[in-house]
Amino acid sequence: MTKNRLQSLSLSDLIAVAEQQGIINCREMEKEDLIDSIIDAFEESRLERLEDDNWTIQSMCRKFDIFQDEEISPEKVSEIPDHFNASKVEILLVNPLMAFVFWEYGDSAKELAQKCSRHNHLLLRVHEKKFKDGKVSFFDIPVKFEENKWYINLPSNGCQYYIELICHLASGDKVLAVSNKIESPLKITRDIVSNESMNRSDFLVLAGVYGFYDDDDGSGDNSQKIVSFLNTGSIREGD
Amino acid sequence: MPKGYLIFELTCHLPFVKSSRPGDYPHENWLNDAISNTYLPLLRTLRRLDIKSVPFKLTFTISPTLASMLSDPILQERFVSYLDSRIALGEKEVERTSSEPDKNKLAKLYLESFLQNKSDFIGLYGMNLLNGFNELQKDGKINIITTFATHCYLPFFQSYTNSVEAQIYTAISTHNTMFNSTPKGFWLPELGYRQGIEDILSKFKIDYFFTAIHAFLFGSKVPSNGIYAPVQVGDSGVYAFCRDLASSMYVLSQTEGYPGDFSYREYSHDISGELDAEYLGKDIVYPDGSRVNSGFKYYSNTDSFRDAKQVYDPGKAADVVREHAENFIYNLKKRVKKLLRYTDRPPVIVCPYDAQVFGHWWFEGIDWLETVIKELASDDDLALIYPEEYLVKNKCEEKISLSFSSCGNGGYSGDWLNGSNDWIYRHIYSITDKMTELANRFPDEGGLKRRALNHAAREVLLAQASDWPFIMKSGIAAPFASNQIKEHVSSFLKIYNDLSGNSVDTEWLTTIERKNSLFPDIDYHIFRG
Repeated sequence: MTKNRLQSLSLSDLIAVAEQQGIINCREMEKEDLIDSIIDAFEESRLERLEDDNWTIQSMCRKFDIFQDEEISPEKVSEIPDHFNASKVEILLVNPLMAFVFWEYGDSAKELAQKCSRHNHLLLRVHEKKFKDGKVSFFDIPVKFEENKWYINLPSNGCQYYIELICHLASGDKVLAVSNKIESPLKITRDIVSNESMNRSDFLVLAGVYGFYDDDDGSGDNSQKIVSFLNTGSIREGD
Repeated sequence: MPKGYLIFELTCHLPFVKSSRPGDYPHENWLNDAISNTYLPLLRTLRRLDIKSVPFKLTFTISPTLASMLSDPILQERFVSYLDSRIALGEKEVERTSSEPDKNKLAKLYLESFLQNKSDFIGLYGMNLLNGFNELQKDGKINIITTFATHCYLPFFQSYTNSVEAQIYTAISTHNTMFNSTPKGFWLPELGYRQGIEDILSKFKIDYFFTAIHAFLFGSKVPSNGIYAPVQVGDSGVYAFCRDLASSMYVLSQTEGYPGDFSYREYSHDISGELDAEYLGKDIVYPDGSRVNSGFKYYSNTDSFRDAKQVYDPGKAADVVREHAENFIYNLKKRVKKLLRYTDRPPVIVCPYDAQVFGHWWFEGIDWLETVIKELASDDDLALIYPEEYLVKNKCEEKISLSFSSCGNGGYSGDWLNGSNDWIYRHIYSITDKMTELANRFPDEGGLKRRALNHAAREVLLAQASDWPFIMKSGIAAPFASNQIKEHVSSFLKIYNDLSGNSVDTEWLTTIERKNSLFPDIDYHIFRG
């Protein structure tokens, strides 16, 4: 958001933006100070995001630098529909333990759901099939009629998942849509230290992390932070 | 015979950005900066090495969107204007800094470099940089491979096989036209891997691709040579090479790698952030207040223990470049020595980098690369190699299934799917489905309808680019990225609705074809289910 754009906003709009950015005492500030604080907050949040990124992502960000971000003027913004009048549910794997689900339902299904549902919500029925033993189970997540997306924590890795969008009717459950299937990988980063096929130091050499890896377990709490292996490394490789 | 091998893979990619009128938005400068800071100096360096008969083997991924922009006459003209504006600014800078000798020396150096770029661009390459890359490939000095047509993030298109095939088909056909060769290798954008892509790549006669380390380590078994030899992926007959993480760190990390050295030039300190708009000119400060890189940067990386910023000293930096090149080779040779105790063949260390790291972000990066290449030319233990050459020299019979992975934060997909960008997927999937519907509904169209259908296919591919969700998440130019997606979706839907009403808006179609003018030979049938 440019300074010019911020200057065109009313004081109350600026306060709203400032509060969104977590700026304290913003109601007591003069307009110009408020604008400067908002610009600083945007920049700070951009830098924080950059610091959290791994090297590869940081290097990619630098390709798209603009010194002061612009705002697209409203007349240039292309309009697209909110939904496509189709009954659909889709699941995407964010990481081995989290999925993103979005859905929508066509007008006729919507009418049916809102008029005839026994409850004030729909259900996302998450089906899980474990790779190891083929065991099948499911769990339900109630979602409001007006919702259309959800992030789901997947209970375990090494499973196949799919989702049914369900409406409770007096006559029984009606499946409005069935999603694609996703597979969460069997092994994730924390498994690296329990690898039994070779001894640990051999494994680290062959994984390309030898000399960059402390003697502690290194897997950390976050099973997905594979790049954290190198956080304590030095530029000169170990012997 | 070398004890170990090194694969340098340089990815050259930018999303397709072309405004209807010059100066409409600053984002075309992404391309101009890439050409000026990276591609022209890099080609200059490689030509110099070639003239001196220094051997080198570099694998380049040149994405179909970048290749299309590099060969676009309108964007070529705009690049010349970009250079003219920098040359004009350079002349002013030489005058402005005349009382500061160190800065003045730098201003002259930058001015000289812009003049050299203009001379090379027009005189040597006839305004088309692909000529430079093609010449090097013809001489066997570089090997060019491809990637998805618009650099889509594969893991999110696993359920859309015909769309993935459309991306690959368009990529290979563009590659054939632009480089007069058939690519043997394939770059998976963001190293995003999902099981099954190997079978599709096999259909297109692709021999190999690259992955992140956890694709190998968490696959069906840990490969016997670890990440230091390619493996066959399942029964596909396609091979996977694995990125070496440590080599990435040396080059990509600002804090732990070479580019953060205090002798090197600082990337972020550009006069465009300091001087007034009138002085800088309208090519650097846009009407909406956005400012783009001017290319005039006078300071070296800041030492946090010093207060004052130091003026950049290219001579001092050149000494450090040599040290860092030697350090890189020293570390790799040491690694090879250790690895030989574990591997049953000469290990191959895979170093894939975004080409724009060199020159654009790490100003001295191209000199570093040149020094590494020169050092390797006289080294008996470590040699550069092409992936296909390694596969011929070393039988790689070990078969494994790979695991879901990417080079993103945490190793998975969070950078391309999070609260800032998740809204795009319902639209992208919807138009992808509708495109398949159109391709099936109009099996044999000609004339205007065919043009409309082909352009619809183009818009679907453009909407699938991984760059837009990435930019939305990064927070830089997020409104622009968001609007790019909306434009592609909205243009597709206009064609879809027009065709449903049995009409085509010819004037509008002609305008949008001129704007999004890539893939001239696209055939909408590639989306047929």
